Amino acid sequence: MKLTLWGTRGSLPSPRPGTARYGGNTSCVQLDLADGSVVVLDAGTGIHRLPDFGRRTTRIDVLLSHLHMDHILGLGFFGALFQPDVEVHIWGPPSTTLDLHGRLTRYLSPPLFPVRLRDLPCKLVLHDAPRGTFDLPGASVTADLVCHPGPTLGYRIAADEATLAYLPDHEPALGAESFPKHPEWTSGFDLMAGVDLLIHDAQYSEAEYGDHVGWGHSSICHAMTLAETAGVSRLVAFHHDPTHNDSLLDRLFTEAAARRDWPFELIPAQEGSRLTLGRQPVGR
Amino acid sequence: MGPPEGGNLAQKPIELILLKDLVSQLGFPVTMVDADGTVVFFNEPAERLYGRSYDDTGELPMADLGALNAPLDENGEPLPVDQLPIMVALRERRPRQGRLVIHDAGGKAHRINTTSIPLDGQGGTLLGAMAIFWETDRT
Repeated sequence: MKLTLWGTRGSLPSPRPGTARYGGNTSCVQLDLADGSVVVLDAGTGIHRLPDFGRRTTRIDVLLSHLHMDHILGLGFFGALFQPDVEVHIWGPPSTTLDLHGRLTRYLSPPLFPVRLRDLPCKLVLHDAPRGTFDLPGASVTADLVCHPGPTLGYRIAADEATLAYLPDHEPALGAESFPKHPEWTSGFDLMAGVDLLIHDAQYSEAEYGDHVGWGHSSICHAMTLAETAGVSRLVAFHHDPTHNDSLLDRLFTEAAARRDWPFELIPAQEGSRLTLGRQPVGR
Repeated sequence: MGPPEGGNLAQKPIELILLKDLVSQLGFPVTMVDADGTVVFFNEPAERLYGRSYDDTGELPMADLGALNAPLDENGEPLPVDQLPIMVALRERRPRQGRLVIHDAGGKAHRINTTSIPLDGQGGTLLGAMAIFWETDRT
């Protein structure tokens, strides 16, 4: 599969000259699978950078981790929603009181947005993501609730003989007397264990985390420790704090990488960058 | 360190993970069981009440903890493990209150009140149950 990071920023779109390299758009990752299937992870403002899909693409699956604004803000600008011949399947966490349709309608309706869900031209199918494993075209997906305020899913995706985990907003260190905790008592561990590539929240510096306990995010150090514990091969440090400019992020990641000899490859997420995993799409 | 291989290391449901983190910070005794009735955690105040540490016992069936604590009902009769309020809450999926006597590791009896609640997750999944205790007096 081929991954493209269209949005790497957390919390708030942050486009400005000082963030041009890591990017200012919020969470969105495109997966192009070897069989031609397309999966999109989250619908932050990065989703508007997705290219137009040709006529060969008749179905797109969008996996929402949760419904905080930075993860759905771009949804109304997702071009595929306006293509009558495309099936768009959106998967996300329900709450205990409202299904995904009811929750998304709160945003995609006036006065917050001019177009209602029901008026979108595409063939739209909304799914309350089951807690467990389900199949998409070309991929097997496992979803589970993870530690973040409000119902929030992490995903493990197996496709093209490779595994990927996506936990963009995640605070596994919350309440822990020491970190890392035992795997059995670590939020999201089963999703991450042994994957080829982990995309994980790395919003704060260590110093900043102390002032943001309970906000639902990890420090860079937490993400790296977790990646080590879970035995991943590559870590994409994701969901950068909106106040962090390129030079600060360079410094934070350089310091974190130099702390010791980490047993995985650290990849600080940069908007527009591409990664490959397992078998590759043909002719795309 | 890499991921665990084999063994009995499946990650707990997030609700139990968050509850354990909370319970470990509380100042009154709490015991948690999973959906199978296995004791998966008790906090430091519960350790003081039981006279034994969770680090020493680890996970254990409630029947085993019951054998250690030798619970008695209000009339001083031995209380079967399936009649413990936490097990009734788990089985019947509703809160349960009770008064009982338990014995710590030194054999000292403690008269306690307990409230037990089932832990229902999203979608109606039964995740386990938790019991809080408070001592009414010492016998």
